[in-house]
Order: sequence, then C-alpha cells, then structure tokens
Amino acid sequence: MDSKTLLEIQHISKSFSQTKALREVSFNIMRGEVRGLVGENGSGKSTLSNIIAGVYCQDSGKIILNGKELNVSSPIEAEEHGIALIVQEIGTIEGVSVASNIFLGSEKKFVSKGLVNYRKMNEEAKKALNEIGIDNINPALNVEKLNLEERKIIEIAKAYYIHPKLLIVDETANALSSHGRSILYSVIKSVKEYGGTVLFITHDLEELVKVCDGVTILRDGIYIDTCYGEKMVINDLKVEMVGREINDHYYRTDEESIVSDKVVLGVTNVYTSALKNINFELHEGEILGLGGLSDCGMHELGRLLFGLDQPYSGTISCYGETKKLKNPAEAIRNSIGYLSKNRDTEAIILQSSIKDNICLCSLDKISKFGFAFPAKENVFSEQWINKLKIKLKSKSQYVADLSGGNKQKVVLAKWLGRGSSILVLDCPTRGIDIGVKEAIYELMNELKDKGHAIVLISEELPELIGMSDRILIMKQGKIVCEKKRSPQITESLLIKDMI
Amino acid sequence: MEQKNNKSLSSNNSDRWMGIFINVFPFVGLLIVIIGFSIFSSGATIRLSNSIEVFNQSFALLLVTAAALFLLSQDCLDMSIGATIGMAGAVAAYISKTSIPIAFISAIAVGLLIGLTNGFLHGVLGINAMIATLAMQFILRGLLLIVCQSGTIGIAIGMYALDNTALKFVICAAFMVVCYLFFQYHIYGKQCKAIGAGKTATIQSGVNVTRVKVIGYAFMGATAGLAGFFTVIRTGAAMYNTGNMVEFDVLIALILGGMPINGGADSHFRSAIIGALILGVLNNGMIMLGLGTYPQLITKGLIFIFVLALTFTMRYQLNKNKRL
Repeated sequence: MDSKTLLEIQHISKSFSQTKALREVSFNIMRGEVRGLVGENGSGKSTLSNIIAGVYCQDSGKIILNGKELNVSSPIEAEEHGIALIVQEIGTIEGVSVASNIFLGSEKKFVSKGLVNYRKMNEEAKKALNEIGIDNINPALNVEKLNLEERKIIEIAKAYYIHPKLLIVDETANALSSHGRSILYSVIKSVKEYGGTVLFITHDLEELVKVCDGVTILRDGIYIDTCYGEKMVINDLKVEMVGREINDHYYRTDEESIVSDKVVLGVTNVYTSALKNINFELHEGEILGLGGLSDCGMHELGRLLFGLDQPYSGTISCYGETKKLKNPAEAIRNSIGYLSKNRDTEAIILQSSIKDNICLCSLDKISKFGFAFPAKENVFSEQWINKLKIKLKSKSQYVADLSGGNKQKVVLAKWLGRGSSILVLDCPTRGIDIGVKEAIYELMNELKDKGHAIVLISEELPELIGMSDRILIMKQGKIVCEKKRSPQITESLLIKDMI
Repeated sequence: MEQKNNKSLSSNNSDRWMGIFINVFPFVGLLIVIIGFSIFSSGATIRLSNSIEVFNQSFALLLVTAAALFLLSQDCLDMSIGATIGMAGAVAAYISKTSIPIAFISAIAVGLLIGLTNGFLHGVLGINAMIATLAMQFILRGLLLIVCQSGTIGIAIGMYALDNTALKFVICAAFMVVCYLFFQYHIYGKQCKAIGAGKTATIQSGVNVTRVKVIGYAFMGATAGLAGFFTVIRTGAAMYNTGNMVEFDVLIALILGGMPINGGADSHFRSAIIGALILGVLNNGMIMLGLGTYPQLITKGLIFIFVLALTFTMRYQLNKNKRL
C-alpha cells in the first residue's frame, strides 16, 4: 500500500436478518480527498458509513485506516481514531443543551472536582460553533427549541470540532436550506485544507459533482465503480446507480395544466401560531405545490389540513361545506389522506405487518359487523401491494424490514386503499431513490387524471416545478406568491420569493 | 475482531432461533409446570379432582387476564384490577342479602364505573396509566377497609348455589371465545394492537385512541366486577384484602404466556389462556407441595423477572437487527 491511502475497505459484507446490505465491498479512499458515495436507497451507503464509524459491526471483511486494521465497536471509539460521522437521522438529543450535545461523550474535559463546569463547556461550544461560522445559536439553549436545520448544524459543529481525519457526511444536506448547505460545504472545504478526508453521501447528484473530487457507486450492496473529475457525469452516474437507462424527464411532461373548476378544499383566513392569514383553494385534479424554507410554515399547514393542529381562527371547507377538522379521524371521513414528513414514526407502524398497516385506516370498509377476517384483509392489501408494486417477501413481514421507498409506497397504498381523494403529501420523495421517486411521480400523475387533488409540500424545488399545476411559496407563515404552471418558472425565481 | 465477526455471522441464525423460542416457550413452560409438579407430587396434581380445583382457583384469573390483554396490547397497565375485584365483591356480598340478581348486576356496574374512571383519568386527562390506576388502587383499598370495618361481609346463603364448576366453565368458555374473536378479528382488537405498536401513526390512521383506551378500561373494570362476584362466592365473604395483588398475577400470566410487555402487533390471544393456566398450575402446585405464602410470592416474583428479562432482551435484539 502507498502512503497516500487513508482508508482501505476490504471485502466488507453485512446482512440484516434476510437482507444482504453489503456484499464483498472493497475500495480505497485517498488522503485529503472528498469522496462521494452514491447509490439507490438500500444500496448500502449508510450501512457502510455506519460500519466505518463503529455503529454496526461487519459480518466479514476488514477496514484498514492508515495501514492499521481498524477495530472499533462504538462511534466514541471511532472518534478517538479521528473518524466523525454526521448521521442521516437526527443525531441530537432533546432535553439537554446545545453545548452538552456537542460534547456528548467527552464531558470529562470539563470536569473539575467531580462536577461538570457548564460555563466552561458553553464557552468551548461557542468556539466550536464560531469555527464553522455560526454565531446566532446560544450554546446554553435546550436543543428542543431549535429547528431541524439548526440541530443538523450543531451536529456539523460537533463533528468538525475534533478536526477529524475522516469526516463522514450521511445525507445531511437533505435537511438543510441553502444557507445550511453553504456551511456544510465550507466545513468540507476546510477539512480538506488541513489534510483531512471526507466521505460524502447524498442523493443530490448535482451537488455531489460540485463538491467531490471523486465518486464511488454502490448498487444493491455491491461495489460498482469509482470515477474522478471529468468522468463524473450525472447521467452516467444515474445509469450506474440504477443499472439501467433512466428517463431524464420523470416529472410531468405537459406544460399547460388542465384543472377542473370544482373546489374540493378551501382554506379561508386561517391563523395558527405558525401560520398567518392563509387563503387558498384546491381544485379537483390539481397538484398544488407548497414550497419555502423548512420553517416557513408549509409543514404546519399540512398538519392543519389533516386535523392534527387546530386553527385559532378561519375556516376550512371540504367539497363546499365548512368543516371542523378536529382530529385525523374527522379529516379521513372527509376523504383527506396525509403522508407525514416523519414517515417512520407518524405515517407507518414499523413493528407491524405490511398488511395491517395498509388495512388499519380502512378497517371499517372491509369489516362486517365490526369483524375483519384475514381472507378479506389479504385480498384488500394484496390489491394495493400489486397496484403499487411494493417489493416484499410476504405481506405479514414487518414494515421495518422494507427500504425507504417501499415504506413510502405502503403509506400511499394505505390512503389509496381508503379511497381518499384529497392527498396531503409532505415531502413524499424525501430520502428516496430515483427508481421509487419515478414511480411516485407517475402515480401522482395517474391520480391527477382520475380527479384526485394533491397538496405537494416539498423542499425540493425541481420537484415542485416539475409536478405542480400551481405553486404557493410560503415565508414566515404567510403565502407570499402564487405561480401557475409554466415553462418559465425557474428555481432562482422561486428562491427569490422564499428568502 | 475474529470474535466479533463470528458473533455477527451467526446473528441471522440466532435471530431465527430466538423468534421460534419466543413463540414456543409458553407452551413448553406450561408442559414443564404440569409435568414438573406431577412428578414432585407423585401424580397428585394431575388427578381429575385437582384439575377441577385448578380451574376453580384460576377462574377469576382467566377472566381478568383475557380482559387485561386488550389493555396491555395497547401498552396500558391497570394496577387496580385486584382492588376492583375486592370492591365489586364487597358490594355484591352486601346486596346479596336483598337480591342475588341485583347483586350480580351491581358488581359488574361497580367494576364498570371504576373502569370508566380509570379510562377518563388516563385516556381523556392523559395521566400516566400506571400512576392513575395505582392511585385508584389506594382509594379502593381504603374504601374497602371502611366498608369491611367488622372484618368481613358474608354472602347470602342462596349464592353458594352459584359455586358450580359447570356453570363457571360455560361462562369462562363463552367469555374466552368472545374475547378471542374480538381481540384477533374485530376492529377494536386490531386498533388496540396498533396503538401499542405505534401510537402516533395509529392516530394519523384515524383511530380515536381516547375512545379505544376508555373502552379498554371500562371492559377491564366490568370483567373485574364479574370476577369479584364469583370470588366472594368462593370465599364465602368479602374481606378487605379480597383480590389482593391480582394485577400482578395478571401481568405475570401474560408475560409467561409470551406477551410482549409493551404490547403491539406481537400480542396474541393465546398468551392470556396459556399464561393464566401456567400460573394456575403453578399456584396450585405450590400449595400442594406445602409451600408457605411468602415463599410462593418470592417464587412468583423470581419467575416473573427471569422470564421478563429473557424475552425482553430477545425481543430487543430481534427488533434492533430489523432496523436497516
């Protein structure tokens, strides 16, 4: 081996119950390089990064860091070897301060006479945050009070604080706005400057090509290729990730939108703690895009439409009748379905079977005198599993076993099975690979043609532009502009209204 | 490193074995207690007369365990089951001197009322289920001490006629069948399991969780009332400590029956029957072997912790490996 190699990954395999997440993966990462790692969902990217960072333990194979075999069994041990991981999920702990989160596991540094000196810790945390250019977060603040993006930034500060030899960034950019992303990129840059290495995992290939020196592709847990510089062409990468030609235009192809005049959902003068004077109408057969920064109120608006939050004032009407949506049950009765942004905790029950998940909100439909027998449930769930082409071993399998994209399909199957004609989809393609994304867009089109109305809440602008008949941009709880579908709408045009 | 690799290589296999073990151990446990005690007592425990005795001893437990299954499957505890049995029993004994049918109805009504109160405290007000029902237990035990100031309340002579094994068997069988159907196939049972597996997602599937919880506690209370009625018939009088600690017997039974302590989709009706039978045989066997009250309690506690620790760690392992 030569001295330029920082990390050698040799024949790593890992299985989770029946699923083989990684098969004999081998490649090297050079010192001082920013390496991208791409692949569809379930291709093993996160599994690999978690193995390197000591979260999981490989079934077989070796990882060699600086010529020595790496043998770590926890992220804290990995940190001692100079490896820091920014996880895909939320990595902060609620209920304690920002500073305590940054120095989680290394509180010893601040201990004197058996007590933690929090003043010193806060000062040091302030320095850590300043280092990445953040000065508006108070280190003594409880993490609960911060939004998702600020929490991610804390994780970035935490990872950068130890000046890691190897920084692993796992799909962090998804949760960040453009401001947050610029912070992340400058951190990646400075790690490179002091000679450190970065392993960067993302679904956003455009971003990847800009940031990375080279990129490694995984598919179905198998190493496919690594390419550098000029050879990183987005379309080629997509083909290698999926293993087949991908149609570049997986969004809608029609440029003019045809929408019926019939209003299915009307929101008038609605105020809540997060929303100010919201007014809009949703028509039959319309895909209404809601966009903005992550804390602009669009997610709260989605919750409101499903009866999860209540307006202080203002009215919501379904099919022309004013309704009080006091809980989700009421919203469901009014033919509204909702796909939460927090899919795993809110939209599906992980420790329950696919069949039960699909049937849960339609039990009254498939039961007789309140009894729903397996035969009926099987037919019902099978129908929607086939319709949505959910990949599974058996319908009694727990949803926890499925990949992100297939979990999302289970949620959609649930609402289609219920027959909901108004769908509120909050980030339906978040963290989902291209293949399933395509299927979801196709499905949305099909539903539109059938006269369903869809509210699409999304942080991805290309998706909003590509799919919506109309886009509402929100800012600080207000709708600031409305744009009809047209080829003239560009991302920069929308961003101007968002910020 | 070598060691670590070996461990995770075998994890797939051990997952499967753990899954099988969790499903099978209640049956094995039942066999072990039956065979074990019959050997130690040289066959005395499996004689027909004793088997009938076991049923009579376990009758109340079988009823309340089946009802508690609906609660535990939604991750709710009821610590006032025993006190409800006591209270309903005392009321039944008191009224039996006027009219036995009214005594029967009022026992169930008292239980239902207590259950509804529990359901209101936890389901509507959102007080932690364990704390709310524990407080209820104290209140009921306190009331019972006042009601039974002279020590006991005897039952009307006519009630002894109801201490009939055949009658109890019919009631028990019918009750079990109904509970089985509701737990496994009715919307209500499915909603209970869904709440235990993921409350937030269940709410977002349009289930009225408050309603499900209130119904669960109300049914639990009414069943405890029924059990209380038959318990005082068996003992001949209501005492201040009638039904003492039955809630723990219920918990032990369900865990021995293979029920996950947090409920959820893995809850099965068989846990209630098998668990209550294991505990019934265990209780009876310990008495037959002449074990004192205190050693009996200690033994039950130890078995409970052992089985809980075993299944809890196994379930944790299984679920952890499922997370991709």
